[in-house]
Amino acid sequence: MTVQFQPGERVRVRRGFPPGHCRTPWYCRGQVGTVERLCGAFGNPEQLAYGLSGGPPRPLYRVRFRQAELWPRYRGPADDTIEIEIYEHWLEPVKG
Amino acid sequence: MAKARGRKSVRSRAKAKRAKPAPAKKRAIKQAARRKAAPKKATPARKAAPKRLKPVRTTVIPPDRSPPRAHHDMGGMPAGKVQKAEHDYALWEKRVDAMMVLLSDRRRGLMNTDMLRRGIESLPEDAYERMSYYERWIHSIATMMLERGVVTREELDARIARLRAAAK
Repeated sequence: MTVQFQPGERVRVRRGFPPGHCRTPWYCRGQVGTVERLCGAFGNPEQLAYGLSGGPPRPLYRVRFRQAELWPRYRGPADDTIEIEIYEHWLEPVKG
Repeated sequence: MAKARGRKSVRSRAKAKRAKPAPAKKRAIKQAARRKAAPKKATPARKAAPKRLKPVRTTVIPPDRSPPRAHHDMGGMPAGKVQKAEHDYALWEKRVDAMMVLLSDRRRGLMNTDMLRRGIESLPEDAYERMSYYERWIHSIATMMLERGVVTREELDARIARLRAAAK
């Protein structure tokens, strides 16, 4: 399995809204976070949901976001974070 | 596209039939008119040659437009307090859970978690809100089994009617 991102790398979640089933929460699309770890590789749920094989396995990352960046009116502590598990095909590299 | 062209040709054939008994002079005028119109006609015919479908770009939404959110995808939306009280599962709920396990096993492979989720996510907003956790599950399982042809609508309806009659 080839892995595109390493822990610590900045990534942007694709701002896509494809029809059908997917596991990428609406509220994080288009947002920038940091790869926290690689969780492994799993069948693509977007295909599995239709009874297809879901193969080949796709890298799944745990990505950390700052709550204050996800929610403009966030009232909790400024350093609060949230971690979301996101498949590689939903992530883009962030330059710089 | 092909449909529209087909309809057009049927109409022009009908026109030709009607025009048959025209006198010689009139026919000559008509033929001249047709000759004149000919180059115009040729253009769309050439255009209609093998057409490749353009890829549909459904995944990009301009940044100034609020993107659509499916009802189930409610993370971060305002909600009431979380009910922390545990409850015992009813027998039917345990059966639904067992059915999911059996349909998903390696030997059958008729169901998986992502299919279960897709079925639940396809519920209209009001039904999603009205149904309990395992009601959503059994709705999804039934939908997926109908989709795969494991059961038919008739079989399901007959079984429901029989159980309803027995419960009375």
